[in-house]
Amino acid sequence: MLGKLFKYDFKELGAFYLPVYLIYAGITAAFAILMVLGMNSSLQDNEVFSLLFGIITFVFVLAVIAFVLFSGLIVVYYFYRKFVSEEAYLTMTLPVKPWQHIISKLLSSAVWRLFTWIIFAVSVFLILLITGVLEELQRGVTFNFVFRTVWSELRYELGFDTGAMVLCAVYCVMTLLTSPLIYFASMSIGQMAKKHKVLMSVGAFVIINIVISFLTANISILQLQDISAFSFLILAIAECIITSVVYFGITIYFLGKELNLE
Amino acid sequence: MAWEFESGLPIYLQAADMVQKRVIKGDYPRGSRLPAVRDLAMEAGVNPNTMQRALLLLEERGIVFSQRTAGRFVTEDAQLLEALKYQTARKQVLSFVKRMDELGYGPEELEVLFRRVIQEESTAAQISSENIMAGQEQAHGSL
Amino acid sequence: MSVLLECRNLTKRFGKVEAVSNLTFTMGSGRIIGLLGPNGSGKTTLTKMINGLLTPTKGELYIQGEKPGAATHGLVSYLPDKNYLNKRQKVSQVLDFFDDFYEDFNRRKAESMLADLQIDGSMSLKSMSKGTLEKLQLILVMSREAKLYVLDEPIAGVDPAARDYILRTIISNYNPEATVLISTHLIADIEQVLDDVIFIKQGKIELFAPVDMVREKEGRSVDALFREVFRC
Repeated sequence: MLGKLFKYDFKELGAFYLPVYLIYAGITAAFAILMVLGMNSSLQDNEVFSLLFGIITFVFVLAVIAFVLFSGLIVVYYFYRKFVSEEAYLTMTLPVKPWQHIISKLLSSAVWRLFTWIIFAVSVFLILLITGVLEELQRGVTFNFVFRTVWSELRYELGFDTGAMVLCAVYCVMTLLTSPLIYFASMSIGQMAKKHKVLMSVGAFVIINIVISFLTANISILQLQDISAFSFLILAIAECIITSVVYFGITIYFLGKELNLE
Repeated sequence: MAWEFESGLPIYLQAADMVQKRVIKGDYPRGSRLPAVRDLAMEAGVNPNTMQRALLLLEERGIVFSQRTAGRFVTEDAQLLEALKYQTARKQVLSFVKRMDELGYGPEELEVLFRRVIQEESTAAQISSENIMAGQEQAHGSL
Repeated sequence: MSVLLECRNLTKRFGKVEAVSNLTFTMGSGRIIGLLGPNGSGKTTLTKMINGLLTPTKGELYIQGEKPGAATHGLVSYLPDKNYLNKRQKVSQVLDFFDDFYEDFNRRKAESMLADLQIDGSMSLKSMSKGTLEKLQLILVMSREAKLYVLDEPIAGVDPAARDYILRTIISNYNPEATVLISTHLIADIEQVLDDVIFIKQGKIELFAPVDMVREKEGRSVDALFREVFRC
């Protein structure tokens, strides 16, 4: 069942993500072309071109922000469609348990959000390549050099040893997998409202955030003290695990036991 | 869709009478197999359980009988069917007589009335068919 | 006749309003049952509880001994009074979806019914009229070989030809192992298709009896009786 759910969730999410990727790719390409044109020609002195360049730079920055934002919002919208809107009549009468639904949504959206980050990284890299970094490389700065510089910076200045690097990677993967859970939990509470389900979801979201920040306030104080990167990451991972389990529990409980579709 | 049912009577009784009429008329001949319950139910637009009950009633009346695997058959008993036909017709006649009585026709007048109406009807039919013939001939003539 | 559905003191409250009030009844298999009542009588609330879309405030509900959940969703085929399909799909994709998730889905049956109603597999749901979407949903629901069919207002708002098709489908689909529960306020149209009727009024059952028993006892149709019981 989980496999079948994943198949449909992945495909359906793709129908939202792919157009976003295409638009983003288009804007990035336009920006890149203008950059190349700007650097290689006498257009640099042209006022109209500078104006156009300014606008497209602005659009690109907006596009980057919107892209990352949309990537997260799509999952939230998808959850709303499947569990709160009229489609919930079908979703919630499938012979599938709530936890299977949630796991499938988390996994499938994690894959798409991973693509988002890869595309984001590639686009930024491309822009860097075209602009200054390209010239630096021509002067003999290799990737190897850049990588080693960043590594030593992380390692000696911020105190990231190998263990911390591994933990950091673990933390990233965990966040990728579990970050939508807080929205799922909020909406599973919000759907209980007779009317204004969206409003109630937003309210639940705000309250959950207040509660969590209150509970983690003590941890933040700890962070201020001089602790190693390793311990800090351990704490972060622990927090992620605890909150995720709580959000997951809330979501499953309210979808399974307190469903209120009207 | 379907058969017309009156509102005051149980549906199964009406369905049974309708099937019975078909047997009397010979739509389902003596000794022949009846359609399956589901098909009859579909045709009538009624619940299969209702049709089943209707056919059980006909079984009780001896009009049909079921053979375990082969299905349901119309009885072979010609005498029974003849009697049934007479009984049904009789009921109709009696109700007709009663209604005519309400209009003031006595039994003897009724006989005269009956002949007269039948006579009129058949001449009317003849005239209309002759008209059609005449019309066709006219059409030919004008050609 | 085994027990298919059992309700014990089933109650659903919305705020102070009791939409369903202390219902206790059982339903066996092999029946076509009309759940009749005016709008707001609690029909839809009851059908949603059978499908686990609403949680009872009090009391219990069992389908073949189990509370509504993933297991019972596999036994119950539900037609809600909403368009619940994903409009971004084509008809053939919806068939794939049902085929994948419901073990009892009979794809060939669905395809032949779609052909009867001239609905093509390549049609996109977005391009369909509301009536066609309703027909598609009904076909999907009736193409499952379920134990319990719960149809919420299947004939409201469809044209007479489609209504006849729907009723004929319900009859031809009859299976002694399965029960069909049809919620509606249009009784005259379906009376002759039903085995039993349930009258529900303000969340309470007023009557639960075989149609022919009502006709025999009352000397009139269920429709006529309904009009009297629910006279405004």
